[in-house]
Amino acid sequence: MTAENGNLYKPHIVTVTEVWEETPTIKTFRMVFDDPKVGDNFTFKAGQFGEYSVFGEGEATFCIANSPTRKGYIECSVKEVARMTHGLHLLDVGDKVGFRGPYGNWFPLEEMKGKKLMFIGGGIGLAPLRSLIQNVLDTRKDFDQVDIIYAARCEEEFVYKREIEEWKASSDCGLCLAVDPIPDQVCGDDVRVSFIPPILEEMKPNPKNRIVITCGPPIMIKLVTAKLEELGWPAEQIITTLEMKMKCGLGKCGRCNIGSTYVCKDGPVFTYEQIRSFPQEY
Amino acid sequence: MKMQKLSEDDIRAGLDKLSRETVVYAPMEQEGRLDFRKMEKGGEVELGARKTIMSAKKLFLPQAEELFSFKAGKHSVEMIDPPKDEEPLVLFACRPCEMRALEIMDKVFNWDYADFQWNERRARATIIVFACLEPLTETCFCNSLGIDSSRSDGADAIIYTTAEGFFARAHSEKGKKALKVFVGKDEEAPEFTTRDFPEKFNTDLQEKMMENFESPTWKEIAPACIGCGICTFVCPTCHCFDIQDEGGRRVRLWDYCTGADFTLMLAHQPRPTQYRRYRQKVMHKYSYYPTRFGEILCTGCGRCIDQCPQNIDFREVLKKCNRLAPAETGGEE
Repeated sequence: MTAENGNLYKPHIVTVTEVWEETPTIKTFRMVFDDPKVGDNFTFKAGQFGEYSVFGEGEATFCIANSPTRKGYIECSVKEVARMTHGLHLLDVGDKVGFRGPYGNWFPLEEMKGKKLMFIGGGIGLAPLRSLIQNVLDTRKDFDQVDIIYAARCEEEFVYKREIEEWKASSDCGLCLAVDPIPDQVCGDDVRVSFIPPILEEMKPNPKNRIVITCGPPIMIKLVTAKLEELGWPAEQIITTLEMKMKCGLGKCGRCNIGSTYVCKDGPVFTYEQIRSFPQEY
Repeated sequence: MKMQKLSEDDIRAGLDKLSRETVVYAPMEQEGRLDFRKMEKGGEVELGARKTIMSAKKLFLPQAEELFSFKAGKHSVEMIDPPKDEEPLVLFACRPCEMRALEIMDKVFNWDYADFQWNERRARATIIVFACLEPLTETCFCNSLGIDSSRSDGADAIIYTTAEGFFARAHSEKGKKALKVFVGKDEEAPEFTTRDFPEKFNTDLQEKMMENFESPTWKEIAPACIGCGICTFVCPTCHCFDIQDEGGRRVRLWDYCTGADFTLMLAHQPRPTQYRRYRQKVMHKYSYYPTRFGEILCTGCGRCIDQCPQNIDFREVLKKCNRLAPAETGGEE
């Protein structure tokens, strides 16, 4: 989707229609395109991302965190860390944001049909998975068993608490919540105190006709993929989405390169088999 | 072959005329710095065999470029396109390596999304190259990158310098039009061939580098690098950029991969040490870009050698890369 005059860097204007706090440092923003024509024609697929801007503070890359099945708006979940995200966190309903996108590739939804899916998320890494989870749950009959494993440092750090409650109550998906085994950890009875690999060790998910989709801190992804391989999982059945620093989103600025791969164009969604062939620099 | 024979006076007088018709950028010295500058008088132009400090890249990918400006109120945003440079531009007396650099970068700026700003500037420029029959400085190594600096087929026109004067030849309609401002008769020109270039060395490192990505030798390639980024700023092919808001403007700025900020994220740094960042620079040029676009992202202009405050000689870097060997134990520290 490009601006009319060919200037790829000029965003569309979107208006914040809803903001809610996920954790003390993470908020989710729902936004609607100001130009109804742009909004009506806007399509994307789960896994794609955008360049969001707060005018005067700059531009940053976030995934589109809602599902394309939930039309009429886009959502992003953002942790407050520096100038741009601070500016974003100050915004309220009615405020304007710039949006360029959708960019990048997407989760192979078609290939997932008829299969069992296991989502493994850590911290705010649940955001890109949420788009696909919503998509899968909205078209539930197309898929076999669906399981979600989600971990964060502590319960307070869980994002999408409202949806987690829905998932808990629903028979559409299995849910396993976990918090890090750190001293003085306090959590509910239905929350495990464990890192994810021991949970996988216990569950021993069978790779037959099943795909794992994982996203979280790099260290979590590394440990999860190592554990799955140990459990006999073929690398091509493990899918993740990479978060590299990006600026243009268009395969020009060179920021997101891993070897000859442009994460913004060739990714951000990759199988673990692809990632293994990259220079180990992500 | 017949070419347009010109004296130095013909060239300077022609440039005077040209600058009244169009914007001309040419090498000019100011306060001891030779760079491509906007020309007012033909007499100011450096016609000799000298290398500019910065490359001509800045005319196509400016160091800081407004992408648009904006007026942002509480509940409204107005975006305004930057003033358009619609005037044609003549880039005069850049060298064959500069022309190559633009051709190489055309690929990244057009491989999928077409970069409007780049293409517009490329389209409006007429490029008149001065051939290099001899290396401009001791640090030139374009011949190792397969560049024959006695020609520049992609340029709109080429000019050869000889003891008897200059010989000019157009390659395109734009070039013909630009050369019309110069008086001078067609004369039979001599054969032009290069001489006195340094011995060539192997620059086909695409696979060797990939195979030896984990080699501990990378730590010895340029240990003196302090990540200042000057090699990138003077480079005619480095094109990585940042996008920032400055006041009411969104700007595209040159950026450099040897700096720690380049890939630094909130809680993650994919290239945490300087040798990894230097490896990225070298491999982007000699492995990744060739893999992706079929061209080495370097023209052997030697500016990075001329300007490095740590005296890192990029030719030596490449020669060391030719000797990369697999790690004995494997894995990085």
